[in-house]
Amino acid sequence: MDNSENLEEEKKSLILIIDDVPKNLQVLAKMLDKKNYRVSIANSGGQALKMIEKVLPDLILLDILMPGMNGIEVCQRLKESPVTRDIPIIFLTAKTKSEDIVDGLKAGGVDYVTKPFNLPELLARVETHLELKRKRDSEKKLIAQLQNALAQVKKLSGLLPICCKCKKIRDDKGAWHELEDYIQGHSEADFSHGLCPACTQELYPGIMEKYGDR
Amino acid sequence: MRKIGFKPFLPYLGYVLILAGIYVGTAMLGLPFAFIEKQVTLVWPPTGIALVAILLFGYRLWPGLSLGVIIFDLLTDAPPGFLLATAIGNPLAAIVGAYLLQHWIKFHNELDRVKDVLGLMFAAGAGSLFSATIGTLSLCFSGLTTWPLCGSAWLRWFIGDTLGVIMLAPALLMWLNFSPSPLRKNPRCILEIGALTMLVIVSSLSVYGGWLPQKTTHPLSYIIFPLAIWAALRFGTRAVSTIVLYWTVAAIWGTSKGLGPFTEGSMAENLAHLDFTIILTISLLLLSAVITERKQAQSTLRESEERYRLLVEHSPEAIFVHTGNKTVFVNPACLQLLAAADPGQLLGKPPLDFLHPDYTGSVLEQLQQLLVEKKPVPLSEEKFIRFDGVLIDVEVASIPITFQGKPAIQMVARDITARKRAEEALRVSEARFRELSDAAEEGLAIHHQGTILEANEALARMFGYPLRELIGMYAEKMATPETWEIIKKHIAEGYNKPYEGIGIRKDGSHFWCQMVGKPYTHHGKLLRLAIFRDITEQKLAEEAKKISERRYQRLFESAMDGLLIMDADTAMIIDINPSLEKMLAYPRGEFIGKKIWEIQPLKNMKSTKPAFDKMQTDGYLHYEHLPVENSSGRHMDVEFVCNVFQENHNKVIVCNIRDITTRKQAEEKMRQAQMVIAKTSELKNQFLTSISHEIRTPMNSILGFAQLLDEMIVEKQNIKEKGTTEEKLLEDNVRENLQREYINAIKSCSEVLINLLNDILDYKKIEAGKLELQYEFFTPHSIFAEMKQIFMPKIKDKKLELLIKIDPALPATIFLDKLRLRQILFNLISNAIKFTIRGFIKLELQKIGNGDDPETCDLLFLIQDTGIGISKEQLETIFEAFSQKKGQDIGLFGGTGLGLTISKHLAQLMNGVIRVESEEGKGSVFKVLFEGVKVGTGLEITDVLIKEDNDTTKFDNITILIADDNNTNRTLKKQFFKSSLAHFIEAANGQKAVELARQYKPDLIIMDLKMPIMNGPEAAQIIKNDEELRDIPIIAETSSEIENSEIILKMGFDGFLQGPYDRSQLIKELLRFLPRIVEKQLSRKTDIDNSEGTYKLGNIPQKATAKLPELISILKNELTIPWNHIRDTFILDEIDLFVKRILKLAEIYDMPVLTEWGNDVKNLAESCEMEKLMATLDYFPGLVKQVEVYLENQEGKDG
Repeated sequence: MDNSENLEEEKKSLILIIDDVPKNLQVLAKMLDKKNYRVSIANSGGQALKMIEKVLPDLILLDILMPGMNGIEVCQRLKESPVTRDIPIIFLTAKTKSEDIVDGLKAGGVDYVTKPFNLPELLARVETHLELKRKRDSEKKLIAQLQNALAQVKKLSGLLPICCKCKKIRDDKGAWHELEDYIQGHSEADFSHGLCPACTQELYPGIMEKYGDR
Repeated sequence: MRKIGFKPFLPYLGYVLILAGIYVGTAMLGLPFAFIEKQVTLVWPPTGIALVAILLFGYRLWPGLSLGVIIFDLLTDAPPGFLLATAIGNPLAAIVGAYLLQHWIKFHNELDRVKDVLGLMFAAGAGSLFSATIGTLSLCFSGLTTWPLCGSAWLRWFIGDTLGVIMLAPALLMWLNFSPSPLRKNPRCILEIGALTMLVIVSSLSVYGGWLPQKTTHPLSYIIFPLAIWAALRFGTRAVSTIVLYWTVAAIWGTSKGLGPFTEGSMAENLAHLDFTIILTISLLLLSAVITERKQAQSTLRESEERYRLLVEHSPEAIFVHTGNKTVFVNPACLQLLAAADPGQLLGKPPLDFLHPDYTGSVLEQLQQLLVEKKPVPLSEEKFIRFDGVLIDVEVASIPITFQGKPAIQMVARDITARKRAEEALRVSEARFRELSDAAEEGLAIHHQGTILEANEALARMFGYPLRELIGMYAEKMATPETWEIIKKHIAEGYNKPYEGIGIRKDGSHFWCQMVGKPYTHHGKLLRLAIFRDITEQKLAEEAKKISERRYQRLFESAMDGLLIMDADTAMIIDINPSLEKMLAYPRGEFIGKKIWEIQPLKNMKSTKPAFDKMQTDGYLHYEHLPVENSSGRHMDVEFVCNVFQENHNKVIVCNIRDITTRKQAEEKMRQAQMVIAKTSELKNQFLTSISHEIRTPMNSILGFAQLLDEMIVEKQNIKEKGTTEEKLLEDNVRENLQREYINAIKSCSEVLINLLNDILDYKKIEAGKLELQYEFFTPHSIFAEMKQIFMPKIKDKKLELLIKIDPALPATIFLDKLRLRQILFNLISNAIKFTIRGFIKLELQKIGNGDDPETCDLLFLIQDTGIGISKEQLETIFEAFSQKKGQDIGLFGGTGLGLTISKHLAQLMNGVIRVESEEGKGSVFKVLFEGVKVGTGLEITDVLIKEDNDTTKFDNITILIADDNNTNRTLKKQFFKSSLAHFIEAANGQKAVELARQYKPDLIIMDLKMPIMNGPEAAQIIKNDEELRDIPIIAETSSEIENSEIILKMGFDGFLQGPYDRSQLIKELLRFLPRIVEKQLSRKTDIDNSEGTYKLGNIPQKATAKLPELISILKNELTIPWNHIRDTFILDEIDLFVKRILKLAEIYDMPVLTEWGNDVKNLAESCEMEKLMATLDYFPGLVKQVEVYLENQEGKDG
């Protein structure tokens, strides 16, 4: 069970196949299942979009010629939304007409496969695009982290209104804070407290004489 | 002879009276000499006076003579008769004498000729005959004398008269006719005259003056002779006559005085002696005359010589005198002629010296003629060589002369070099002119009033006459009478402008002739120079031009198109034709002189002005289509073509405006029609595209499943390796090999079908030559192996034999488009099998010839069959598209009719040819020959056959009704279930199917849609309407395109199979119904009524019922969320997991309905039948409800 669960773990990538012909779905589903992909199926564009609302697939195999909403339209819809924009779409087409392929690629498809498919080729393409997506996702994650860090750094940058007498800083809401409070609140910096010689002299007169040069 | 005019009467009367006076005086002087009577004297001087008076003053003075006679007679008392006689006789004597002298000898008053002297003597005598006779007779009658004395009286009278004339007349004539001689002015001459005069006077005084004694004077009386001769010699007749007269008078005077030698007799006798003076006078006068004559002759000669000398000296002509071999005289002109310095150069030289040698012969002949025959030689032309060497032309005339007593030749030569040159120049000039005039195209003639004097060759040619015939011809017949009239008129008027007329040639033919005559004067003659030009061609051209102009005018006026001509510079319209007028409904007058854009109907052409400018630069403008509205408001479409032409010095634009409204409409209709056609074509293409898609889809599945099946077999083999009996293993192996073979056949077939499909779709490509080939290396054997694999089942089925013969010399691989070659062979072999009922199919592959090139070879594929064959007529058409074999039963043989056409084109594309030989009833041989096919070694092959897999399912104990009119199809299906224990019932048509269905109540029906007698839908309808049969699933089968599966399902079918399909497709489709079938079989066995719902709980065992609340809880709480999730996501793994849990629950809680449902979901998920899957999934809440309801019921029962 552990093994199988591990297998399940590996079966991470979810591939959505959209085709109006059950046989096509079946062949592809079987094929991908064998290669340890998680497979989801839809027989129309509408159904596919509904499904995508619930779960985001990692890759979509999309038939162009379908009754109702055709593949190109589905693709365009997906590309409109920032959530689904990054899902790689591979078109499936019985057409070999280059204009269809061009239309598909224009609409945002990353690749296309013509029917009847050469299965090893199809799988290779699927894997390639998934890999690319994974890399993209991890890059995106990294970028997000970096952006986050950057945003925090940015909190300290910019113009700070400061009182020239007491050195208090005014926040966005108009309240005045002690300098150290402000910095502590807006950055990850901490403070250790000490006294400079001038202040020491002021606060503790005589102490300097007592400790001399130190 | 001097004539004195007497016209005024008074002077005449004066002369008459003077004459009468002189006569009387003279008579008185003569009286002393009268012997007999006073009337008869010895010397009668008045006769001399009378003759001289008549001679000098004319006959009219005779009255003076008569008057003098009458006066004298009266004075002498002569009787009246005598008076009358003498008054007549004496003047008559003078008149007769004068008459005779003047008329006979043309008497010279000067007496300078002998004949004058002799004539005077004779005239004196003749005149005296009359006077003497008349006077004597009158004397006798008057009685003054007697008749016997009459004779002597007559004689005396005669002598006296004659002497009177002889004595007196010469001196009188001389002096009265005095003209001073220039010689007399010479002082020597005067001295001589004085001396002579002195001598004469002295002599006369000596002889008759009594100076010397009488006796001595006698001889002295002859002294007069030498003196008179002296005078005659020195001073002429006048002196002689004077001296003689003086001497005579002196003699008479002296004698009468008794002095002188003649004094011895009587007075009369003495005086008579003086008669000698007559002799003296005559002699001396004759002598003087002779001398004068001689003198005159000498003087004439001298003058003549002088003249000749002068002539010769000053003659411009050169005059030579030569003797034949020696020049003896030359004149100065000779020197000039021969450029000699002095005569010495010429004199003594032979005249031939300066003659040009060419002329020596002729000149020698001339010399002969001159010297021997003494004949002059007329002008001859010779050439002389001058001393300075210059050659000159001379004209020579020679005459024989005597020079210095010797025969000589006088030669006159004239330098005619200049003339010769001028002549030569003239000759050349004339020749040149002649050439010029002959060369001229124009005929030239010089004529005088129509008579041709001169003409040139051109004229002769023009009129067809020989030139010589033309000269001197009167030209009337050279022109028609009308033209001749005009010509004559023009000649008369001196008209000098060109005009035209019709000329007549010698042969009578007419031609148009342009003439011009110019009058000019030549040697006082008014001539005309006429120039003729044959303008027939010009005339014809003019005629042709006129015809052409008329023709184009008519064309212009009758043209259907509107024509407009305008000036290219100003755009002013020059002319338009009636068509345009009509077309634009705008009067012609409105066009002329306007600019084109000012024309109302053409104003709509907004681009007219710029277009006009453009046209000027391009020289051409063409609007295919311009909308125009004419003045009556009709909208038209016109085609507008303009061309710019050069016309003389101006450019014009000719516009052709064609009303194309009708054409446009027709074009529009055509365009619409074309659009319809294009749309149709588009639809056709769409249709083909959709077919492509629809057919590719199932083919895709076939290939996919074949692959799966192949994999399955491999897996099975892997699993089976342990724990199976050897027998079983063997059996399995056999089966699996068979399976693999089938799978491979499926795959090949599918591939071929897809390719075939592609080709049908690409048929247009083939026609357009756009089909692209994909060459690759492959083994020729493999292709036959494939063919065998594909066709073997069919061949076996038809109980045919397949013979394959492959040339062992074949190369390892060949370079061709494998796909296309396979397609060709597939087509040909399919045909062969299709049309062969018994016998064999033979496939043969030969390598032909031993080509020099080891890299290529020729391949011949032979496909032979023993089929029905092809008739001769059909052999020609079988390769044409859609030409299926005539009489070919589509139901029997099928096919698209494209196979052979495609094969032929494909072969051609690979540089191959397909030939067919066939005999009807015996079979056919198709030969496919590829020449120059590239050969490989076998290392090039890259394609590897992909292993495929299939699945098998058990259909044991299931009865299937197959309704299909095609036996093969039925057999194939049965073959698919060969390994199972399924039962088959076969029906060839719908009716039979219904019957059999009723009879056997099969578990499943597979029904072809198209069938004879009753088709599929009809049969399905009947079956579905049958209570007993309603539940039997009917699967429709069709090879036609199905647009929408809904329609099929609505027709009463439960599923359908789209042909072509393979075994797995069939099985998959059937599997869908298997649970139902099994359930039904079970329910039939268990008699459970399943008719009220799809999933029925049925009877649940007691112990299971107890666990139901627990089940419901699980289903509701644990499974509803996953159920919802899979309904939304359709993630197959999750469905699988869900189903597994359901099945497990079903097992645990003993709920077969759950098992059924779970399996259905599983199967549907596996087959990806989304719609059904969704529908089935939706049963879940219903199932739960059923369970709850059941539980409540049970609790109710229990409770």
